[in-house]
Amino acid sequence: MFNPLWIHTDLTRTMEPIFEEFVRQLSAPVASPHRRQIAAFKAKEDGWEAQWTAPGVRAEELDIRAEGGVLHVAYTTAHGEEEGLRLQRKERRVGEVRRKLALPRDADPETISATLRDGLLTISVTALAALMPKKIEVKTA
Amino acid sequence: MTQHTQPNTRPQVVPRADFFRSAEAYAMHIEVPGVRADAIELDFGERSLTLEAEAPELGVQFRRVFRVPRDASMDAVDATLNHGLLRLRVPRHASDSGKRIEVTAG
Repeated sequence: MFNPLWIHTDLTRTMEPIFEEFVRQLSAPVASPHRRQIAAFKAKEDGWEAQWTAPGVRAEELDIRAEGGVLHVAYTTAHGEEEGLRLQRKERRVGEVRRKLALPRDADPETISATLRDGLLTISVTALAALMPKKIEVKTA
Repeated sequence: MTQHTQPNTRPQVVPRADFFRSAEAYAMHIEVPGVRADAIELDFGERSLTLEAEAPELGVQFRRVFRVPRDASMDAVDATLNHGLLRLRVPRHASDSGKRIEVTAG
């Protein structure tokens, strides 16, 4: 089961301030999409998949490479800008992100693919063809 | 991933956000990874803004209630979703009490 260590809470009643005039301690825990988020490959039908969140990151900013059975993912995030406005309060966790994921032993590195959609990064790899179940056709004489 | 058939049974997560302001406007950048634009609901109350967004692949629902400053013109809110980051920008309307002049470096 994949669970990126979200903080699960019922926040139905939570009200919190947003701007300077309301600054006070946050009354609710805030999810940590980046921190301590453990990315690992989980088994899928024909291979494995690893997924984690990277909001605000564009595909061209991702550096993904496989080397010696290890997948390296690197990117840098930064606070956004608003023309004419001052960044008042920062909750987003930004900076350099470097992750190393061990590729499953039977994975075929040639099949690694990465998809970035809506700030969600998914890396897939399929099993070596030699290990895939093979259906044998029976010929009639 | 745990499969929930009903969206409202998904665990709720408070999304992280950055907050911007000036004498003219407020803005927020809210992290909602895995959310499509049509899965975002923004509900404007009298003095509050409720964000609800479904992230089906993550199996969570983002939910956060923001208190809206009195001088925010919520009828002119500008919302854009980019790569899992929701940007909201709203102008401030002229306050009737004590006008403050902000000096910006040229």
